[in-house]
Amino acid sequence: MKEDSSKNGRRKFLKNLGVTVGAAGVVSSFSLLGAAKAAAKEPAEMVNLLTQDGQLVQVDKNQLRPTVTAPLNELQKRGREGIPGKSFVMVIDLSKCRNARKCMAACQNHHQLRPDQHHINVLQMQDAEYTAPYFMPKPCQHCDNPPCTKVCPVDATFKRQDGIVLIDNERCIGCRFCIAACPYSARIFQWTEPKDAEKYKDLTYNIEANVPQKKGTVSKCLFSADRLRVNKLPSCVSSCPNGVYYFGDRNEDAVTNGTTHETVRFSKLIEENAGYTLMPELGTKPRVYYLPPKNRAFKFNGDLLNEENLH
Amino acid sequence: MKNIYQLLTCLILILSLSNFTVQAEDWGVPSSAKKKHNPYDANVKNISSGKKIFNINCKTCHGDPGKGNMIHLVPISPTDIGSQDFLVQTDGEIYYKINKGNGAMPTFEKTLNDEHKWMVITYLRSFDKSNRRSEKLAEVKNPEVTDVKLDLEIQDSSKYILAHLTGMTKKGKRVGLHGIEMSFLVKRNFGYLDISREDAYTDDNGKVETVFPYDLPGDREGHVDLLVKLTDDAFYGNLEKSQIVSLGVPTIPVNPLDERAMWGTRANAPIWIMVSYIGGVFVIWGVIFFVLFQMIKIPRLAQNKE
Amino acid sequence: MNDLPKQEETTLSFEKIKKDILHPLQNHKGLELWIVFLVTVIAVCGWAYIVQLRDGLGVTGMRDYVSWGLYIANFVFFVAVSLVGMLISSILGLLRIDWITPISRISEMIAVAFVAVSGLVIIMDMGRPDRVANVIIHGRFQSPILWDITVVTTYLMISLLLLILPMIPDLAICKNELKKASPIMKKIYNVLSLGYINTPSQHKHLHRMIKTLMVLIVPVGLAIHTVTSWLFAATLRNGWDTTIFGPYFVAGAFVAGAAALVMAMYFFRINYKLQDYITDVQFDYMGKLMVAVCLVYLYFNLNEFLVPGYKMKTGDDVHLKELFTGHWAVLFWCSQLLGNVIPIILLLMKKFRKPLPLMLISIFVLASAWIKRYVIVIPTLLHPHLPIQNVPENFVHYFPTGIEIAVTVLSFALALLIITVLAKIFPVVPICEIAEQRGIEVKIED
Repeated sequence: MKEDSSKNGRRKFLKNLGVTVGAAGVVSSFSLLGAAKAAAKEPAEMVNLLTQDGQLVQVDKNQLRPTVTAPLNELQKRGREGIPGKSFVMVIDLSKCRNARKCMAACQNHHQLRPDQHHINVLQMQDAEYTAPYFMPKPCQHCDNPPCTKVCPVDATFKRQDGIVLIDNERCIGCRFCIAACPYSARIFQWTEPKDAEKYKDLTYNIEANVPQKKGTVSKCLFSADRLRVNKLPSCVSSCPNGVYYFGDRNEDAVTNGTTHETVRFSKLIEENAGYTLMPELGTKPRVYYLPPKNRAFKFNGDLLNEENLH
Repeated sequence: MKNIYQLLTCLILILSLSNFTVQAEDWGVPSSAKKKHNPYDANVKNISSGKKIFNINCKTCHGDPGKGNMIHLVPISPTDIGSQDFLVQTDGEIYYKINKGNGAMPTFEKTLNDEHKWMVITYLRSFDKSNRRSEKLAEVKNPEVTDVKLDLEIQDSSKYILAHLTGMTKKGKRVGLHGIEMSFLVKRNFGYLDISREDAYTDDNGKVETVFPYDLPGDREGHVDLLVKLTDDAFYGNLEKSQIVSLGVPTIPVNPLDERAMWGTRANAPIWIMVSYIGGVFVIWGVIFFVLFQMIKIPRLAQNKE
Repeated sequence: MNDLPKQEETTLSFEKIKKDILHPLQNHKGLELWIVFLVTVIAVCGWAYIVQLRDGLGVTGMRDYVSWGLYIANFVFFVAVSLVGMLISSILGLLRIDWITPISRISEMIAVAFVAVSGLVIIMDMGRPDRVANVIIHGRFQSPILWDITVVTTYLMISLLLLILPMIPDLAICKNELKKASPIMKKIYNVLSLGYINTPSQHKHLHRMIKTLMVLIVPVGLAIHTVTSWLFAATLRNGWDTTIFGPYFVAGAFVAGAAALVMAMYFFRINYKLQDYITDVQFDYMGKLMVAVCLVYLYFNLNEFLVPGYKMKTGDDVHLKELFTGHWAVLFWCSQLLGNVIPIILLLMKKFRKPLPLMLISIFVLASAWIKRYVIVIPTLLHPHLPIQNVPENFVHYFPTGIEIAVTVLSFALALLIITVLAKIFPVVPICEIAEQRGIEVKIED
């Protein structure tokens, strides 16, 4: 009994260590770093603002957030329609992932999520006994036969023409049927007031980023649809320090690596690396492709894989 | 008892941390590996291809050689591998490190082939102030020219793209510039796809060609945005030419929403399920309302005593 | 074939029947106290729901993995119990089985109460109950939830009609006999009795309408529980992804409903002193009926667990091991043995089909039926296809919080309150049908 507890303690400890080392291991991507530096260097420029209750206050210009100019209806309409002619896909190269978790952090930052809320989650996987363990980043698979949108009673979650599955938290009734239906556990629910709800409460709702988040509604990975609209790669893709992610348009047969910015043929990448999709037997037709963890860039350094972690 | 566990935990923490630090500092390159020599010439071509490989595989962490713009990591940041401190190592040592990786440095043993690794080392050596081997071998010998022009010639049927790099000599004669590397790029949503063939250097006439991939999709009409540019701006500056060409495979994007589907929105629901639902509701509630309506007769039937 | 103990030849007159059945409606002090108690419980537990509304579903034990918990288990349970209305008064009624006459109204009351509350339970489980109208405005035909809400509403409507329509003659009697009733109640009796004075044409017309509804409720009743099962079977999860869930749920619903009915029968028989009407015969037959439905349910259970248990497919294996021998084994085997196997064995013996033993067995059956729903809903969510990682400890386990338990008590109290109020204002045993069945002339004054 005692031995058991010590083992558990050590395991937990190792897990924690893994997380801290991982988190401290790599710093944000260039763009983020650059932005932070620029913000720090710029002299604080103060501007006068009239608050709602009629008081004049001085605010540091750097702290002002740009307001979304498009009105809600416009955002909702274009968000539901999607980007014509596109068919977005993601390729995740498992041989490159070393559990740095920059993707998770960038995603949580973009979508106003708490550290325990994951639109993308890096899992430690082992497919069967005696097979090789590996890290697997798991975003929403944006299935072409999505089990989640099938069951939604109110069209709150839906697939749009560019293949992205979105969630409209202005309409969601919080029945959580989609969470039950998703075999990839890709959806989360705002059980309580979302992170920084007070701060963002006046922000116009942007369905393409699902922000601000709302209490009592479902949230999920959106491939950063708001960034795609301005030809930017999704947050997770561009924040990866290890070149794990490729993202692009299947109609163009090209995907771009978020780290190296190298653009390659999607079909070739999949063909040459024996790319696969998760649980194809379920018939969900995912838009996220995985490249097997062969010829790895890093040794697997996850904590001991035990039953408890796998199930 | 609990204290012992805490102690143990601390011990493990210290051990593993120190282990990590030691590992990160000490590569332990075997002396046999140090002796390995770069079998490739330090010519412009090799340096250029080394740069390409470097930019894709190394730059995100190490930054540009000599610029010191690497990313910052804890406990140890990546080295500026264009610095002299780094380049005092032998080719073999660098080769070993690329192969094995250490801590946050990935292993490239399998992801890069030997030639590519040596190209990267060749590229790095070009920053080595104590080794001027590369300079001696610089072999591009074009006459001094002005008004450098890049012309494209497209053959739609065979999908050939021919780039022609010329310049005006002092004598006023337009000559082809040879030995210059060109990049043929196709614009895609998030970047440019390189379709240049290997060794895309201009020939003696200043010409280099490539074949547009026969199966690369374009838009509905097969149009693609083509960008041809000098790979290295060291010779003639940043010269590029972009053009819309119709070499792509005409692709009509499939709109998944065109078909009625179970997963579609209400407007896209399969007809049979709409009919079943609406029909079912109408029939059942029709009967219910019929019964309710019939109940009105009950009071009237009270008079009807037989 | 018909081994029922002969209906004892009592000297019941129409007057006596009326008196026996209507007496408790106005002279039962305990009932009023019971109502006060239920209202208090509802008020206290209602506060728990207010807290949930204010702070969000985070006050429950549910988290991203176990995103459906106690409430959905309750919902399935309520729907299941409500199915007894269709079983007793429609299926058996259409088969012209006469022993059900005295208990058909009780079964309809249970049906109305439980199906009405099941609709509320669904709303209590919603993250945004304020947006419930979206289901009507934006309802998707492809979603089992739209079907479920439609069917629950429809079933409630038909059950209400099947409660009231056969009661019209009795209401006419109430109008005349219940002198002490409040003016409002008198008005209700007056309106609902529709001037019924039991003329032959009225009788014929009314019974034709009732029969229509009895036929109509069979598909709706089957649908309500089948669609409820689709909430689970429409997903790709281990333990839910099965084709027999529809009939499996229907069979389970008959078991739960029969048990609930027996408990109600026993309660009214003792409290309303209806021993002459809800006799040992009814209990004996209910005992036999329970054996029959339990056997069917057992058969479905065998298929539901033995077949995947034999194959132990990836995903199913972890789930089934947890049920059979793991964390859920106690609840699982409790529900199977106490709710199914043991009752079958016991009820094969006549002495266990007497009112008191049958009622006690029913308590176990009903409790097991509830546990069964809990075991169907929660373990599956704890065994998703991909590992649960990088989430706080409380995401990996589920145990209902105080708020959830309070809201559960609230829903049960609501169901009991509805039944109690119905039994307080309406005769729980059909007066006229009993009289007709026993060949006593029914006289209703104008």
